[in-house]
Amino acid sequence: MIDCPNGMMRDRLPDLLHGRLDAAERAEVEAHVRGCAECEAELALLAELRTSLRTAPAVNTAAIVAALPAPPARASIRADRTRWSHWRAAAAIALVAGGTSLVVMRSSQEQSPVAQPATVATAHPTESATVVAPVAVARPATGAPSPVPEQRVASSHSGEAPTVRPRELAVGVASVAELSDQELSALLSDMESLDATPSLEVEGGLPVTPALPGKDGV
Amino acid sequence: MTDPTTPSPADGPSDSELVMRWRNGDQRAATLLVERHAGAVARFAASVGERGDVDEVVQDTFVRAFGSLDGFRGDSAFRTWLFTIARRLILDRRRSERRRGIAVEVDDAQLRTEHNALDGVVAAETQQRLRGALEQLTPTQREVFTLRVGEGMSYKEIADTVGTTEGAARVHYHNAMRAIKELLDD
Repeated sequence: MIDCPNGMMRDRLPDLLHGRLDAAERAEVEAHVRGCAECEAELALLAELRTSLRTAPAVNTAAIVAALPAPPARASIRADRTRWSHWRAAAAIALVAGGTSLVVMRSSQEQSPVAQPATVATAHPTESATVVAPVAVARPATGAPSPVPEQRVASSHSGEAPTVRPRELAVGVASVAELSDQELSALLSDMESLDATPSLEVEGGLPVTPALPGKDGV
Repeated sequence: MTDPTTPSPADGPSDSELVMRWRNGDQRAATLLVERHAGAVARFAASVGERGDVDEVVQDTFVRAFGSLDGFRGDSAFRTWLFTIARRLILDRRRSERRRGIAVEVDDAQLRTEHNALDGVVAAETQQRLRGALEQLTPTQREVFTLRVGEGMSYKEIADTVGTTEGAARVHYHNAMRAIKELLDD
């Protein structure tokens, strides 16, 4: 097989075969091929070689897709949702600590008459949040055995530290701000152990003068 | 010159658009990219003499590609980038086989046997002769020729894929073409 002496034209034959030429270039190369037996033969050979080269084993595209990593945005969305739930919880705590609120928290694990996830309701109906919290209790010790270790929390209203029974808190207080520092700290500590609950920081400027739970008749 | 690896709007979204969609969480975009390019990667792997599991090479190529998609800057075509990854994978596999004492030089007789099995599909004497001619090329010539004639890549894309220059890629292609013609004329 004799090669066409026009190397530039021969170079463009694969591009013509694959449709990579624009209209003007294609017209130019096709016109040359029509008048060049060597290039016409080479173009035909290239077409057959292309057929040979394009024979390949089938691939399982579904298996390939299944093996791919997740898109980065999905991981980011999951992280964003987690962060958003953190901020909601943090905002709820800040609002409760700074405003008039009624806090009723019960543990879902205690065998109490009401075993419900803890909820925090604020006096601001447009701003509410639900906090699930197995939390510490600021309540005088009853002597009953507790399946959960108790912790002692200092009270600002008595000289002794009442026993705090974790995982149960029934507080009928006018404001969470009435909780003692220790009680609030215990509450926050327990909430930190919750899934997707961050370490919360109560703003230092918010007054916290807690009263013993139950003092107001709850 | 148009780029066949980037589909026209009539063929659907471009590779760059699909990559962007995937980065934004669209898993379906990954499916479209795999369906669009897996066959070409398989052909490339088979043409450069990958004797092992071509399916595995193709899967590993895409897994690596999507795992490092942040590194794809769009300077080259997406398919070129995939071929580059596949090529490195195949070379790594060969080095590993060499370390384990497994012969990595392609046995011509074995390769002809494998290709004859594929030729059973085509069942044409001419195709068998063409395959035989391709097998006689040096690995580099076969690689360049495959990318130029099998995939329609430009010399620049070939150079990016195999790690050489455009000029060298052009020389390899024409040397391969001359060798094939001489073999077929015998």
